[in-house]
Amino acid sequence: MRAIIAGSGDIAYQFAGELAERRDTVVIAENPGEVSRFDKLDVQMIIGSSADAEVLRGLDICEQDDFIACSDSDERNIIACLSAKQVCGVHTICFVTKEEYYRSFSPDAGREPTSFIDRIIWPQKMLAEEIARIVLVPGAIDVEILEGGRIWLQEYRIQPGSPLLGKTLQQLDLHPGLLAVARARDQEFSVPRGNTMFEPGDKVTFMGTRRALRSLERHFFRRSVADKVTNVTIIGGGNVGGIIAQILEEEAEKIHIKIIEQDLERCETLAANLKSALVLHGDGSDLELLDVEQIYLSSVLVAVTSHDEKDLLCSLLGLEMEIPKVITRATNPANVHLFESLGISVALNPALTAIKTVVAFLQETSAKLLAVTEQGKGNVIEIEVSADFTTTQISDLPEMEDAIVAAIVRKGKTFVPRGQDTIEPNDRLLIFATQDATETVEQYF
Amino acid sequence: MRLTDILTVDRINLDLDVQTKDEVIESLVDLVVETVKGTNRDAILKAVRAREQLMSTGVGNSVAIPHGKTNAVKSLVAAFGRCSVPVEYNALDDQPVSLVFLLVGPEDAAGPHIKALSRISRLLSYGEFRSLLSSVTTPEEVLAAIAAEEKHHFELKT
Repeated sequence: MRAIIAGSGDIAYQFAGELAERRDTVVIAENPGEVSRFDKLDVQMIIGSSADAEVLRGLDICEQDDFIACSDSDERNIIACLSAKQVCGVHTICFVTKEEYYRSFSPDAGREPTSFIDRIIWPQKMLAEEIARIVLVPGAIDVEILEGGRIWLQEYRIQPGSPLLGKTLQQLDLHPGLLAVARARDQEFSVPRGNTMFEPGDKVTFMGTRRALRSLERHFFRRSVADKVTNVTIIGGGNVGGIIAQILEEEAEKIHIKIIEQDLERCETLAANLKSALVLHGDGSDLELLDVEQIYLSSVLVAVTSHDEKDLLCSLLGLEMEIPKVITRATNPANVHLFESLGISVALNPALTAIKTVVAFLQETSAKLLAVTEQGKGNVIEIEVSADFTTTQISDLPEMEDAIVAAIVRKGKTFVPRGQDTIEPNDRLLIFATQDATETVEQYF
Repeated sequence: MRLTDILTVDRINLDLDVQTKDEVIESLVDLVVETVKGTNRDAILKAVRAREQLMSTGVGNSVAIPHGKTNAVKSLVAAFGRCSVPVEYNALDDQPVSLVFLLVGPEDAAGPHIKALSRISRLLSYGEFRSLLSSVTTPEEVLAAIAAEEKHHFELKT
């Protein structure tokens, strides 16, 4: 059950930091110059080529290990997975940055899973999908769609003056079809209780039916956001910007999309591949351009150039233009918190999102991981209640610290439970839990 | 910057008797010229028309926000006009225009300019606010409506 990390760059380092506490972790570093920063982590370092079968055999890797190829080179990652798989049937996870590799080795493409890569991760695509979901729901800063759309997860930031302030959660008497499942305040992350009171700046996650969440939007979040998403501006037409535009074109035909990209050649490629999005050649921080193209009409601005400084500048201009939702990529994970503290609605780091997803995925045992929120602080897991479970009222369950049953699927019907509802044998439960509580929760059922 | 700081009662005309896009622009520019000392009508007209040529500022929903930057004004000023009969404006949605905000600012104030511009367009994207502007009868009511909406939408922001 070791984790073997092939690579020694930033992603590998963050992985090692996440995994070292939980399991035996081995890092295979090709570049001796990058080894020193791993010193403070409790990991075994090997210097050598991760594609070298000798090195891998020397590690005695076995089928129960997880092999994570996350060096800076796509090709090296793919070959490392191939070697590792040949040495033994180890579970392989491969990071790539190029679309063609993702397409060629992705099991999602409708073909048989590629035999030597069990899971392929393209962080830019994950990020783009996440941003597109957040764009589509006005006001929300995170959105996950579960159970084929019967249950939604939406996260909001509480604005000063919000009607959600000044009352306990119990007194708020929210729609019965939803539950408040998490509250993030600075670095603190917890599951709210009946006596919880929200404060301005809190990020609150709700889970429930789409209908209930719409009602929540109408009653509590309407005035801080535009009523509808009609115009979306994407600054930066690289991989991420391009995929976001593609998803939005497919999901919402009526949205007007503008992409501002500085590289003329890239503009031409984008224009050829996108159906209705308007591709503009120019600098996203040029006020004249923003004026002439009437960017101030946007309901959402997404800044995904490849430079944090540029993204920040464009985002600040977006805030200045009072665009209701500004989403920014922070390539440096240290900038995520800073960006959000400046008023940017959502700041996301692609590597962090991918790493947390993989870490959560590696942890799973009997439970199935459905979604990860707040860059890994919260998980939505699915648990099948065993057949010999004694029917129990939710309010009688042993107190689950930092976890909450958010939905029950019984005989094909999905519902959001209240305290007096029961959990019965063979139910499927959707549970929201903090990262730390996830493992303990599984033992209950 | 609040819109109520740059728009005054004497720069509001609720009965613009005009037939063409250019007449709309001219009559609003006249409101600015009449109320701002030491400005230059031709310079303002030139700036606004130049901007209009790049792309129509008729943003849809019967709203137009003609604007321009010229050093003929020393600070940002706005004027508001309501056409008695909707005017063809070559708008984004091809519908005639009746609610028109003019915005003129000095060349070196791109930041406040675009902020005012976006604020006007944001407020006018609310259907209820547009209906209100279409039904008020005095310039004072216009200012009061804008003040209320600005407070409502923008002062909650952190």
